[in-house]
Amino acid sequence: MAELYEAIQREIAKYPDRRGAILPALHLAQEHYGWLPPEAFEAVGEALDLSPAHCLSVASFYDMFFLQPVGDHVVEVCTNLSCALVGSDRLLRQFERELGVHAPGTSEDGKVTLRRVECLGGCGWGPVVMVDEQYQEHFQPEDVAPLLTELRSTPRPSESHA
Amino acid sequence: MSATQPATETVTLTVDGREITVPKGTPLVVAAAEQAGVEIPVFCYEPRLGPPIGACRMCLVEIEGAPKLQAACTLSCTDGMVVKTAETSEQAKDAQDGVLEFMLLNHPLDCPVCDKGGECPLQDLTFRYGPGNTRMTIPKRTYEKPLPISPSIVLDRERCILCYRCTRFSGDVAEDGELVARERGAQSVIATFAEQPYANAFSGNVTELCPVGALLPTAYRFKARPWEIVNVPTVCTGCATGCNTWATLRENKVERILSRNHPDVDDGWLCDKGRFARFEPRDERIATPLVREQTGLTAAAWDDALRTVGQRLRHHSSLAGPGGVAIVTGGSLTNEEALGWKAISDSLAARTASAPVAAAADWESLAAYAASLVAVDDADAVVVIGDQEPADRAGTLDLRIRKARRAGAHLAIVGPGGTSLERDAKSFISTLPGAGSAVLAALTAAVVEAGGEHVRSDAPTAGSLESLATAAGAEVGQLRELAGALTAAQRPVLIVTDAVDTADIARLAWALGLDRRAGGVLPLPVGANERGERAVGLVGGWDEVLPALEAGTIKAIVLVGCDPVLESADGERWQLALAQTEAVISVAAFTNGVTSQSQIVLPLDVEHERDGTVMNLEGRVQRVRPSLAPVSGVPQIEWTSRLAGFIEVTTPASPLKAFTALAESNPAFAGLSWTEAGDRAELQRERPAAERPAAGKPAKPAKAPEKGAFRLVAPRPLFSGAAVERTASLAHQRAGIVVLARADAERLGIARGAQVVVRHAAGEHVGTAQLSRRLLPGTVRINWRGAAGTGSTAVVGAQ
Amino acid sequence: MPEGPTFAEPAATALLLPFAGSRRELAEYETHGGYGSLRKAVGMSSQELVDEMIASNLRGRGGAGFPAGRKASFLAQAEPRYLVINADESEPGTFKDREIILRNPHALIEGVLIYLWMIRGAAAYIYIRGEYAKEASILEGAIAQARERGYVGAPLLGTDYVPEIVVHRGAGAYICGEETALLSSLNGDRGQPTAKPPFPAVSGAFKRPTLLNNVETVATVPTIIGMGGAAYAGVGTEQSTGTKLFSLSGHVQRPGNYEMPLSATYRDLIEVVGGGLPEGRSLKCFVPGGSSMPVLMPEQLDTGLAFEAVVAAGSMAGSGAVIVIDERTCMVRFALRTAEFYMHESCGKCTPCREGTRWIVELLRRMEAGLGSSEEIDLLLNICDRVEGNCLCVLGDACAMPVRSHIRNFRAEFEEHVTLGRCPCPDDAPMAELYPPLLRAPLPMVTV
Ligand SMILES: Cc1cc2nc3c(=O)[nH]c(=O)nc-3n(C[C@H](O)[C@H](O)[C@H](O)COP(=O)(O)O)c2cc1C
Ligand code: SF4
Ligand code: FES
Repeated sequence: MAELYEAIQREIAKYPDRRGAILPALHLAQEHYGWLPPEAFEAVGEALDLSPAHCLSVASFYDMFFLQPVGDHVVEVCTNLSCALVGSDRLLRQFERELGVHAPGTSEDGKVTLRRVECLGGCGWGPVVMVDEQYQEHFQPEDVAPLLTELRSTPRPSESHA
Repeated sequence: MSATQPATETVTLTVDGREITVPKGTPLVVAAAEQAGVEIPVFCYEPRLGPPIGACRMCLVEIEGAPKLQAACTLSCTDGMVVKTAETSEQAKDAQDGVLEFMLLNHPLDCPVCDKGGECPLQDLTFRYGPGNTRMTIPKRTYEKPLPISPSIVLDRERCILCYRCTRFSGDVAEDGELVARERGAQSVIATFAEQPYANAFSGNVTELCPVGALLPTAYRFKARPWEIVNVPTVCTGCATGCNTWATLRENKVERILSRNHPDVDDGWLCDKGRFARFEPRDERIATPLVREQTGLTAAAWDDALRTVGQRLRHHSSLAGPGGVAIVTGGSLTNEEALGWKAISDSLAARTASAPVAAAADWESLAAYAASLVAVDDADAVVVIGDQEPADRAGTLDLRIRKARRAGAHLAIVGPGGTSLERDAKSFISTLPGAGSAVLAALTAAVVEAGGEHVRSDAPTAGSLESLATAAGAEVGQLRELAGALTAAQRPVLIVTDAVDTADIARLAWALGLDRRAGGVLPLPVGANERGERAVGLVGGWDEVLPALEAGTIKAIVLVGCDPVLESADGERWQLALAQTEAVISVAAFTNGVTSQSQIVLPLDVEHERDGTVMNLEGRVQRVRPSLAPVSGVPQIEWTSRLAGFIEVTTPASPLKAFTALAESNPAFAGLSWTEAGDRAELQRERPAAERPAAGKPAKPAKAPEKGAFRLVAPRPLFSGAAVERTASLAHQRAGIVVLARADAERLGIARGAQVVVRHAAGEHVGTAQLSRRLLPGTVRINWRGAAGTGSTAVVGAQ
Repeated sequence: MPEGPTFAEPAATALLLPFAGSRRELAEYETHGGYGSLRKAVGMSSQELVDEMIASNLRGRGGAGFPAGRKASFLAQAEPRYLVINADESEPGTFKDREIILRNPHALIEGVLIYLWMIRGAAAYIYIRGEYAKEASILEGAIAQARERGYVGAPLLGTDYVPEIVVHRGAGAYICGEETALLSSLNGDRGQPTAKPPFPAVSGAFKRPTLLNNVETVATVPTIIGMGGAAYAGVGTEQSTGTKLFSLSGHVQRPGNYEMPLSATYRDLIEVVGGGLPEGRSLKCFVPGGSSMPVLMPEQLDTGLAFEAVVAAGSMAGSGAVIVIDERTCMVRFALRTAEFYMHESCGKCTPCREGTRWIVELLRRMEAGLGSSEEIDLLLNICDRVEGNCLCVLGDACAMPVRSHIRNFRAEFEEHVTLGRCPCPDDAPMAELYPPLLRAPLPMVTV
């Protein structure tokens, strides 16, 4: 807790106005909690001297903040135009079949959260899949099963760093 | 006050073919409506919320030369502008129809069951411009509704048109940031955090700001239709700000309070106390005179009760001589009612006491430096000195201070910390609780030391800056910086929230030369009409009466609309002293700490029952109007006059007569007109010349508490008093709070949100822990319902 | 992403990206003359630098094509002032700024330092889209190297000016690419656009005067200062000078980023550099500058890449994202997917965009499913008209413009859907498994 508070104070130092640090603070909190539960907003609000409601209001505006718990790994499939033209919808369905969930959703074992996302800026190398914030390009339906096998056997990225 | 303004530059433009000339920079929507008579429809535009945001797009107009339609609300008039509104531009008309159609895409159109029906801008515009039929083939968004966002407000998300007025109020005006929009795009909704009630002290304003029926006061739901109601113009007497209001009356009940927007007083805002608190239920009120019998207080006939009161007062007065009788008030009377009591006390040679602390209520001694409320708007520096939040004593002043800060004023908060204004203040100077007097003395010394154009070096200082700073618990460096900012400011306003001797304030004001500058001082009275009562002649303080009462020199006491047992920091002493006083007579709305000690109790008239005038904290005399008959059936001013008869004095029995008498004979009311006081009352004031104040010693803050104990900061909160305590929908505003310094909380292992008990001299307070990074360590701040004695010690523990 | 060359003929003028590989290391960048322009710039006055930018006639690479030099000259004088770099790159089809950061980050840092010096900015904030986590750390690394070398966080090259650069990560919101929305987001509010005035040049980052430019624009600055504005203006066309990165994607043999002189044509890009469509496919249409732009038809392939040329052809050059669409593609689906994106990204502040994009999507969905009628196609066009030009920012236009162009150019396909009562495309057509709409989880209700 105190670490998060301190880490946020270091971010605040980079901005002439503490409010500017809200996105870095929310990123830090998400790293800390794995998602953004209500207490994350209270902690961020306290560290920034802002209301938790404001922090929630800001967080809920963006796609990358999770307001619900997520699995150990997050797989995000771009289904925007360039990727769609080269088969990302088929790829997404393959993920859904393998995981037994509809996007957005988390596999029953709590291991993998599947999300559909908008253009990731990898359009020339589609379909693009983002796995725990790492891009994987030219992703094909046959790559799905191996990836999931690997993910199921690896811990949460934050834990593997530790 | 200020130097002569240069003649305002004007611009000439054309709106729908009509040429108009307006001051440069006038918002186009305003100019069009006022000068060209063209109403440009708006939803999100509301200048009191800050700069226009151009969100709803209802106001689209064609501007010659612009490639596309422009939101009129974001435009200011410029020279040669050619504007075509929907009246004359096909393109603008089509766009406006489009915007309205988009708005109605999700709107339930349930006007027949909506409380806003008949007063709803969306409904009006839909009738005027809306498409006759719908082209919709897609489903509407639906939400669970209505959703209470607090006990006093309900939200209907389906009706919401996402104009962001409510969230801008919360974020940009009240600055609490508790009412927000969440999600994005078509999924955006208005929300609070994690099911918590929207608890801002000014939350009710959103129900007036919402242009549709999405945010409504819970208490007014399904209560009335616009054609069944009467709106009575009056003034709120919840505190000394004197916000102008409309009381919505239906079938002999005040169902709703709305702002009557007096820009110089309230800016169109009300606090939730003024808006929602009611002296209800009426059947619990003291409705007849009560006389104590063996069995307790028993109803008595008016004349019998008044005769007895008259006899006893005369008896004690003649027996004990001057000062043997005390008339104690608390700033809750109208000026006209006070006039009756003044005559009575004169004829009895009685002591009077209208304020808790006499020395803190000597407003006249500060007349040379007096600031008005609007002076805060124009201020370039606003300094708040004291333990309390300004809002504790003057609700909407808080919003005005924030507005001044947003406009660029240097806001400095000087106090023990833990208040909401510090967060965005330019400077915060930590001091000991109860050190207001010492702080003023230290600042005076710092100002004299700083010198400067306006500064008077002959201001009496009570010691060296260093020693005074030590007494105040403040850092010398910080005081010097603040003194520098104050001497450099052109229009500083000093707001003193504590009950300090006005002489302390006068010495600083003199040093700063505030009499020679715009701005000035704005001390905050405790009672809503404390200034008025005093101006009428009910001078003196409870602090002077109490020793005499304890000593037994006061034989008979009349307590009119006040309860020092609860409202004074010396409550316990009052209780004991009253118990040993021969004649205790009280005038009260409900039974309370003093009625239980009284032999005779008379019914008090409250808000919406009284006709008369009150004087607000800046000295503005405004008229309050009745909507209801007093519960007793006999207006107080009338029975006071009858009581006066029994004492053989005459006092006017009607408000108008009393007011006329005041206007004729009392300089404070000279030249005032009954009619003008009832509309948008002007502030009549000339500052007298300042005189060099006498030297004096600052009061010392309380001694350091025992080891392990805390210094207590317990100002009487805004949300306190008989009406607030009886209003269920304000319960969340009174919920117990315990503010602790971060360091103390960590040491005690108390987490944010934990339930904490604070034991202090006046009782035990339980509240939710809030952590403050600025509150002086070793100090605890609570919102106790009464006055618990700031500076006294307290013991804190987790519950 | 391939680290190898994605550049091929005929841009003999590779000014911004190295021909091959990446130059992530500062030392490597310096051996190629890197930071030389910064040294030169420090010897120049602010006005001289602005003049040089004006002479180059560089047009902003973020989408609107506003002349960079003129923008710099508008900056209000009050201090402190800030420089903000738009690295939000979210317009579908666009991935060029990422390429600069991955392969030539110091070009951006050098551009930032020159610009900071030019405006004596209190700091520069690089607002990079949240998904670019790797790119953000590469930038951090490059800045750390520059800091070590004394270019950042210390008096700059013997002056008393100390530049600071902060990498600020977004969190997934396309609208934060729009400059005022980006600034709201940077200022700690929801990333919603604000009405202008006030313009960022007067009140932007932290309510202070702010110069805001796209990554590519700023990464081009060292080239301009190095070769001189006038020389730079000699490349490209008169109104669109220099080279520009184009992001090529979709049904094309060699997708990737290509630096092209603005005098080249779409045919050069798609057929020559990109290798044309895959074997056996033919061109149905192409998106010339990001998904918000009206499509161009095969007969318009010879349109120039220059800003003015694309406008003359009835579209806009936008961000330079070119999406190639082959003949099998269902344009109703393409329109739907396009509109869904803008609906999802609408910030929700202004009515026509918030409600209009949703209405457009719902109608397209009906059409794709074969519901609706010919009148509904007209209704759709009418809604596009009522959205376009009436919103607070141009996100609404970005939805309306392409949808309208798809209907205009391919109305028969739309009619066919509604008369057939289904999509006529075969199962193996692109986007055949069109995924249902992107919605966030239902909102928990607040109860008190
Ligand atoms: C909806 C919308 C999205 C935009 N997205 C981006 C973006 O991702 N990156 C970018 O540089 N500019 C984007 N822009 C353009 C910016 O508003 C701005 O014009 C540009 O960053 C200015 O930089 P430049 O002058 O260097 O081109 C966007 C504009 C709009 C209206
Ligand atoms: S609740 Fe009312 S005030 Fe708030 S955004 Fe909706 S319509 Fe506007
Ligand atoms: S009133 Fe102008 S956009 Fe809302």
